Amino acid sequence: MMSIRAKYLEFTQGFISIYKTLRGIIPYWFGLSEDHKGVTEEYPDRVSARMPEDLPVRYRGFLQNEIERCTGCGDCEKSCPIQCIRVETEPGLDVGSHWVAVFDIDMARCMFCGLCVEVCPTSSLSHTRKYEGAVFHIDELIYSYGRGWATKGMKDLWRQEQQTKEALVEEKAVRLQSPVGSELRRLSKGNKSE
Amino acid sequence: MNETLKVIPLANYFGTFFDSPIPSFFVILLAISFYTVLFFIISVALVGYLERKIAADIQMRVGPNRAGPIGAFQIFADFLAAIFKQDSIPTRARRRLFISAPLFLMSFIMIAFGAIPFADSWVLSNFDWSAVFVVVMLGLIHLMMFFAGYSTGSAWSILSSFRGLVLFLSFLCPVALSLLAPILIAGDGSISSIVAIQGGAPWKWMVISYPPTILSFFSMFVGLLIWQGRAPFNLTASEGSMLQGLTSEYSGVRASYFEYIKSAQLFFSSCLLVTIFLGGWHFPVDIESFGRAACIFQCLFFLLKVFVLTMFSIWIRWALPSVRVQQVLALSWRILVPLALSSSLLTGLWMVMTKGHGMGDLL
Repeated sequence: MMSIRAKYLEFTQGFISIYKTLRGIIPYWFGLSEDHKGVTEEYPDRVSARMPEDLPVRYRGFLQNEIERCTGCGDCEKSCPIQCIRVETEPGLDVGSHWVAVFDIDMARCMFCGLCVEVCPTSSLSHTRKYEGAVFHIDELIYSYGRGWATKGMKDLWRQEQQTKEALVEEKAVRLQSPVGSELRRLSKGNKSE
Repeated sequence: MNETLKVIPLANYFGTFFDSPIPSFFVILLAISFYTVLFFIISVALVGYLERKIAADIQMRVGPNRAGPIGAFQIFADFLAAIFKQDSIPTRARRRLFISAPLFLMSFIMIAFGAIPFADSWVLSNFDWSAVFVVVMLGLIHLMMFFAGYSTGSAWSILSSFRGLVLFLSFLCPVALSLLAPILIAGDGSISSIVAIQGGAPWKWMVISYPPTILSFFSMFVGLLIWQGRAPFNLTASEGSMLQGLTSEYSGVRASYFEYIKSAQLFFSSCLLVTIFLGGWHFPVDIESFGRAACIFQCLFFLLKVFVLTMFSIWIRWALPSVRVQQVLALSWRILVPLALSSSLLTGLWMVMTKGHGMGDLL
């Protein structure tokens, strides 16, 4: 049992602590200084202007591929842990080059780990700083950077270009009277090389 | 007008507007719907919105701001969303009690509202001992919340309901004993007598005119906080431990009933305190010359005082941490009950010494 004096002290101390707590809430309630105002970002209606710059320097946003630099090696497809990249190529213009027909990244599966960007030898695959990619249909989330399958007309064009290039080389060799040209002619007629 | 209308002063007030005699049934219906719509639904909509906005301000966030100009229609939007939700009833629940418990709660609190006068003659029931009737309704509401949790058949809800019984033990004596002092001063147990001895100006309110009643006011204020089950006394439904508590198994509209009841309880507590201790509906300036329009000013002044108390209760809720079970019992029986009893003792002494006058009569 506490003495009456102790009880009285306990009572008043309780009152004083409640009063101090309640008084401490007032700056937050009325936003009396900048430290006490609300910190909510009302996305997307009212965002503070610094939000785009707030992104880190090496932020890994949605992926993009510059198809002109892409060699179609498929390293990104092999390194993706979720297999969300699909690369399909066919023989292209020059010997050994690929025509990247299909290059699909399924952004719904992509986890933005960046492994594909790390292994890309030509750095054609890179991250943008885009993070607002919401769409209405999930099919719209497949980002296609491929050039499409080569049509018969294109293949004819390539073959024509290849023949034109070979003709030019031969003509040059003939003009320069180089041994290459005569050798090529002899070989193409089926003779053995000397 | 019909003599039966005298029993319901609000119906009598409405009856004075009609020149030709109309059946008293319609006037009574008008009075009851006016009371219900205006003072229950608006209180829920306003007090619920106020609570969410003030809580957001205190917590450094924005609060509802999309459903209406400043988020004012959030409660209605929540009601609309709740209507479309699945109504699930646990298989082990006592079905009829489960379905009817929230409805009982709503009707009990509307009945309790009927005893509170919002202006001169704006009250639904005006009988002797209406103060005690209000305390009985408070107890019934709390018991009905126990049954609401008990009817679910789920262990979590039953646990929360039994913790609510601790609150029941704690609030009833302080609230009931705090009424001793005002009843002693008024000489009558009806709320309108307690309001009639007060006046509009602050020095005519009971807490200032008869100073010993301040202890009663404090005891009743804390007792009503315990009744509402609000923080710091949220044993049934706290955000850290009990979470939803006895309302866990309720979904959709049934769950929103409990939210409305909580807001209505807050509004009702503030109304009761203002009526008994803070001058009720009296207006500070003499407006007898306005006739029947004076009631609107009295109601507005009453609502102003009520909202000040409501905001103080909301402030307390979001500032103070919760108490333990032993602490709320100790608070009630070791501090509030002695305070209430000593208040009535001191009030008796005051009445004897001043021969029944208050300090408001001096000025």
